[in-house]
Amino acid sequence: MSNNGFTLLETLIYSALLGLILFAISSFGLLISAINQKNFAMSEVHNSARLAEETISRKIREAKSIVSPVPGNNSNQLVVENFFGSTETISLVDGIIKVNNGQILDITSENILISGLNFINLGNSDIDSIKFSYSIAYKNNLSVEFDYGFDLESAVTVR
Amino acid sequence: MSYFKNRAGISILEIVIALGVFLVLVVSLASRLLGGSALMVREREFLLAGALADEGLEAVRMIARDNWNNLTYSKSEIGTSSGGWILLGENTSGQIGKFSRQISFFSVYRDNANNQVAESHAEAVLDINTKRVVANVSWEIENVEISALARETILINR
Repeated sequence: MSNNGFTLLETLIYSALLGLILFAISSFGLLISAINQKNFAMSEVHNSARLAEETISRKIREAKSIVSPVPGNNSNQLVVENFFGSTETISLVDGIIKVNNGQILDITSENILISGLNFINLGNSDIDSIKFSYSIAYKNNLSVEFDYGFDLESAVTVR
Repeated sequence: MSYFKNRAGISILEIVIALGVFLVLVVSLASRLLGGSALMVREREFLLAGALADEGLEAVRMIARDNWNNLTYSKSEIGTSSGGWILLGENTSGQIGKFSRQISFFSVYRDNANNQVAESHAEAVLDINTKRVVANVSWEIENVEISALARETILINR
């Protein structure tokens, strides 16, 4: 029984050290969590942007003709006549890009907010060439870590 | 009570080793996560640059199909005029946000078997109805490093 207990000073020092270590660990944990959330949001936006661009490009490239917009005009929706002779419409509904070919298919997810979808027909009476653009962002109701988005533009000429 | 009496405390060396292991883990985890974020930024830039390069090639495709003789430049940027695509002129380049774009046009040579060959090839004959078109997009990263992306296509007068 020769061991003595801690003195008050020792207890205070140990408590302060423990507090510092716990603070550092929790701060680091929060930082990791924030970076993970940001990476998740970025990945989701990139995948949706790529999918939307590829889908719109393919629909235009494989179209038999462009019904709307006609050359010299622009529109917030694209109507194409496909090789089976039926029409397909690409438009923005509640921030989601949708393709309507009798069935309505979502191109982007509910986590993603698309805005400013625009199609300009820069072709002529013989050939259609569509320039399209949109803004894409993560639909964020949670925290600033999910704030992420950008504008994208591209073009496709009908083959 | 003998249990407590015989227990030795943690030595300084053990604490230092434990802290060292902990720090190595923390630093590796942090660098991996931050590296992942940097890759995400690069991915976005290549995604946008690719879309702009595609836009350039598709605009040139339209210009060529409208009139093959419009392809008179060796390097040019695309633009719009009177509701249609145009080439802006020799050695022009475009700035779209942080991205710089220029379209390059190359002659195509063929041999007797109609295969594409280099200009220096013994049988090389200029094919005036074919062009190789390259869309170059470049951009700066944090005002220092320059990244670039190129996409190309072959256009045929038809």
